[in-house]
Amino acid sequence: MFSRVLLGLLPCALLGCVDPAADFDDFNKRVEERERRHAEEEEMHGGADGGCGGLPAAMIEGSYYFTYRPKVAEDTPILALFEVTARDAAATGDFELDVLFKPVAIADKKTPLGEPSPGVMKVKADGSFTIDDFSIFIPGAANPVLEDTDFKALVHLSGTLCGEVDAPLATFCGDGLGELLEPVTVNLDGSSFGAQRLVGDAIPEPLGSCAETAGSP
Amino acid sequence: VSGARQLVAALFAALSLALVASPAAASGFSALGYMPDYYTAVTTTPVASYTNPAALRARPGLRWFAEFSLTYRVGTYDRAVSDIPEPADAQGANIGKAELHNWGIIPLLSGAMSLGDFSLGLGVFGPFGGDAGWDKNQKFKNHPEYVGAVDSTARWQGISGTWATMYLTAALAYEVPKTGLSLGVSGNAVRSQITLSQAVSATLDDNVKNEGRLHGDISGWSGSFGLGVHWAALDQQRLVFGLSYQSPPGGWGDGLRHEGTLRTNFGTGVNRDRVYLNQAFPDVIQAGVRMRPIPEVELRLSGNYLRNSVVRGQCLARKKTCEIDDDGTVSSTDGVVFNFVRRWHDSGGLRLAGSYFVREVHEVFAAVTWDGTAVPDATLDPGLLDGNDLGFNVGSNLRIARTLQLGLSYMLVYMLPRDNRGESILSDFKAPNHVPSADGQYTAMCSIFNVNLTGHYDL
Repeated sequence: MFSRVLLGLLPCALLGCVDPAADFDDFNKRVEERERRHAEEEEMHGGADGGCGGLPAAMIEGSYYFTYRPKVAEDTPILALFEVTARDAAATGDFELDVLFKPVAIADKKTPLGEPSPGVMKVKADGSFTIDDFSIFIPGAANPVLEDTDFKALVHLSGTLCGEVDAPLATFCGDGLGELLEPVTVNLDGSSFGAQRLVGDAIPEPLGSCAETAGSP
Repeated sequence: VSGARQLVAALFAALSLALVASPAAASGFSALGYMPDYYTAVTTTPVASYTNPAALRARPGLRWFAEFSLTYRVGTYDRAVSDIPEPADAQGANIGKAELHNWGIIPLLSGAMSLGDFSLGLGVFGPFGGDAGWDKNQKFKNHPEYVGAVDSTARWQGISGTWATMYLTAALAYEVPKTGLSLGVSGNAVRSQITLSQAVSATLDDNVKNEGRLHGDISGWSGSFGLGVHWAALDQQRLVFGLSYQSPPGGWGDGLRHEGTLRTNFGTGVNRDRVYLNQAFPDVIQAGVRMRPIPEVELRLSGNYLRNSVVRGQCLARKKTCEIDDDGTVSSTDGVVFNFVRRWHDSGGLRLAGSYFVREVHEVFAAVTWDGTAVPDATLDPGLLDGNDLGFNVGSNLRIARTLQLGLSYMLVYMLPRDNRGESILSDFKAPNHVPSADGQYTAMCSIFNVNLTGHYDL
């Protein structure tokens, strides 16, 4: 009952009728305001990465433990093995590497599950890098955000590689943009990630942002 | 009583016994328990096109009927738990009392015409639907971080929502000569519109740190039909029986499938998806009897029975089909966005009413109603505030001109308080069936002021 289907001309505003669309829009405004304030605070406290770049491809390639921290569920990072392979190990300056994203089981945080997702890491001489149009698949058993639900997403990762030119890169990190495509559309802008080189069989603690990897050994 | 009347009497007795023997519990989406006194299977108004098409034979001539109801509902939901503990600086964001104070307005129109042994009826009706909008939680007004908590502790199941299922109905009745028996049939073009706004997180729990919103706007057309019988067992309608059946919109199979837009915001901007809502809808049986032991007095007993047990879940999916299992859950996550587990049961209502005719042109009446709930404690939530309702109705009908009658009534519907603490199963499921727990205590009360005008012309 209490229908408003035929009541467009009646004084709902006066009576305070229910308006779900307005409630949704009000929330959006509040979120925008909060995010704007957060961005301002970050700008005041943050600083650009400096003193990076010049790493040859050979020092970047290897196996990493990858932590993707989605902005929409920061407490439940998605974990993966991340293989980086140099197309030309001696390359310096601008070059490309192949990457492979292999989500790991929630149960043990180390067993890769599902079809690996390939991508291309483009590195510039100043150390900045991007992995654009990175189509990733996360099977339900590797999905801590919604267990047993498969995720498909298209993300764009970017960051800056900082390390010694003659030693294997220990960590890299950055920010993520993009969109979850399945099971429902979700904007993933504002997400972050961190990657730690795997040494031996040890699985490191997840570090899902530059702030976290900066504090790592 | 003639032989034909005896036969019809036996048929009515059998059907009435079947109805009484069924478990009574009515609501869900049904608004019948909130309807004015004339929404019964033995009505004498043109609303018979919906309540019992055969009852169009109850009055001769040409009639139109305009009704307007103003409703005011108050309710509370005292949420008892937070699935994810509230942060220290967000105490009261998920646990505690929410209140609603909602106004509603309902104008409806119907008409009927009787010629010879036939009657034709047309009308617009709103037998299913409702709305709820919860008051703001002032403690979190302008909160810099927890920007969602201002929408009350009920927000994880509903900040605001409307469900309107409107029937555009055409009906035909035929009276078998010399029997007092009428048969009726109706067809309905059914328009449903569902809008809702509620809190949601990417992890489908009630973590205030990840709080987002969804807004669904879904609508569509479907069809249904009605059948009815109406029998004046004694002359001058001193004893009248009515029985009707309304099929579910969308049919008996998978039920309704309506299309619309789902907007979400998980704190990173607005997302849009095209979605389909799949759900079954109940069919409705109504029965009633009215009698005039003396010319000045009329007594009425009526009831309805809704097969709400077909409502197992409500599935919101990006694909057209969504198979809801008997336990209300959806097994496949392929294309499914959310599924709201319902597990309703059959329900019904009863109304006992009496009228006193001060003069032939002036009637005063009173009624008491019972409207049982379809929603078990396990799946009760503040988005669909529902319980066993007790109603009291008083009113008067007065002829104000030769062809015009004015009706006024007031109805108070009191929901018996509900307490499902420890009973809610909504958070027990995995995605896409998972929603935060709705454990808590519920109260509600609704006032309905009704004004109606009847025009009546002899043909």
